[in-house]
Amino acid sequence: MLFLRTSLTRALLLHRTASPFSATSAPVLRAFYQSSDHPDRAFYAPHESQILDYALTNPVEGVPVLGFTEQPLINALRAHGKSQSMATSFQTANSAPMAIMLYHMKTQRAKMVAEHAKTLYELPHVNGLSQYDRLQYLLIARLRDNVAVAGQLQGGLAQLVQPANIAASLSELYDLADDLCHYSGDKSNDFAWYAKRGSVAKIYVLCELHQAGLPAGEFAQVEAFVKEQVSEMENMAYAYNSMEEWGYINMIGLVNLIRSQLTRS
Amino acid sequence: MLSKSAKTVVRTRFPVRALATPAESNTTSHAPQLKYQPLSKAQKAFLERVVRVDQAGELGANYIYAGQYFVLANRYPHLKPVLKHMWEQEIHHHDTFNQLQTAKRVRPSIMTPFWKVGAFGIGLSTASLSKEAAMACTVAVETVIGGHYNEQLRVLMNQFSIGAVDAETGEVIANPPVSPEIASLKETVKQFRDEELEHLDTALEHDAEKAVPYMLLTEAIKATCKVAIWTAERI
Repeated sequence: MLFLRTSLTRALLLHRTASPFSATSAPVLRAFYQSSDHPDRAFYAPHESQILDYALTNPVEGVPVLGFTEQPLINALRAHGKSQSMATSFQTANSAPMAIMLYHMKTQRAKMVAEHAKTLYELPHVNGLSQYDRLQYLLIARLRDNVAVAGQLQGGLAQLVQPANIAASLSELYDLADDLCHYSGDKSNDFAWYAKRGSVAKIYVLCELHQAGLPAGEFAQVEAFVKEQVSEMENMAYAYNSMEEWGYINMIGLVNLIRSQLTRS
Repeated sequence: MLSKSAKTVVRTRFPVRALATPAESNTTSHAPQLKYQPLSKAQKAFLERVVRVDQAGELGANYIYAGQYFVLANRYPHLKPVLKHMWEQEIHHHDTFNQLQTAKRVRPSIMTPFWKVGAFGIGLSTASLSKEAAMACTVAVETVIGGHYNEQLRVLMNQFSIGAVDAETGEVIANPPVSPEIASLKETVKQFRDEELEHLDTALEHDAEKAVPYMLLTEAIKATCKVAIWTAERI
């Protein structure tokens, strides 16, 4: 069984678990296995959250007026009595604008989970709805939270597609798609798991790009676009499942035909 | 209706406390509510691999028995209940790991369609050779799975002593018990390991060693299983 003594097992044998607790303000870093008894640490330290939140939301010297640039973070650092040079030392991203955009993505995802996903099944009008209805509800809830930065969203999206930021963007997109699928009630155990997350990520990106091209007050158009996209996904899933069922029935029929012919001969 | 003495025996042999979930146990006792430290990245990666590979392994076992049952159930009626019993246990194992995979948000193996076809094919082809070859296949698969579960248990026993504090006071607890989540996983792995080894014994009792060529068959299937485990752990 030597082959099973993987590098991971060796790493565990050398590992020491003595890390201290930290504040558990949302959002947390979602990676690997999600434990119920060992909750993850907060992704941002409290002081980082305060600074980034100021940079993202301050209506005078934050993103709403200055966009996703370095300046809101410098202003936030100055407002919190920190050195401006810290703008380059935020370890959560490669650059100050990306750090703010990533903070926006992570906090809005955490907000969607806390305010919508976890209470989704308690809402009377949501009970009895399908998985696709719940997905649509969560997508709309998440995109509605972009309205706060609607005028600057294009600049933020431009940060996400910078070559140096692609890995962090895709990781965050994966986490978002996984949250959307999980909280809409997905119980896939096979390749459908990948297909669903891929489709949901594609829908989210399309909807966000659509939203970025619209004025802030036109959210009704975004909602209509989300409904159209989710409906298309549902139709595709129905077509695929029908084809699979048809193929399976035909395969069983063929096997039974061969067996009956062999028995007769 | 049970008599009074019978009820006493039942209470003694199956104390209600033992059946309580960890959460219930905590609420009825005066033990402090514990807040455990987070898992390390390596521990999380290990648990993710455990869930993914065990899910894929149980899926494989489920489909191997399906293939064997498809061929042997009508040809050898005396084997039907034996195969059915083992197959039902594998379905239960598979369902358990499916639930764990969705609850713990673990990515399933991307090779799942291949595992399904491959496992059904192994079950079908060995059963087509002979009933002894089918049993030899069971011996090979269960030997590898049993050893693999043991390896996982060793790591779960040795590497998951995680610190905790009192949830109310924040006081550090010396030598806290293993968290209910890890304890439950250990129990699941232990129970499934024992059931897999029962299947191995059943296969040996049903003339697995009379299969021709026994060594070639079992060693080839063992090697296939090891490659499958290595792959399913990773992708």
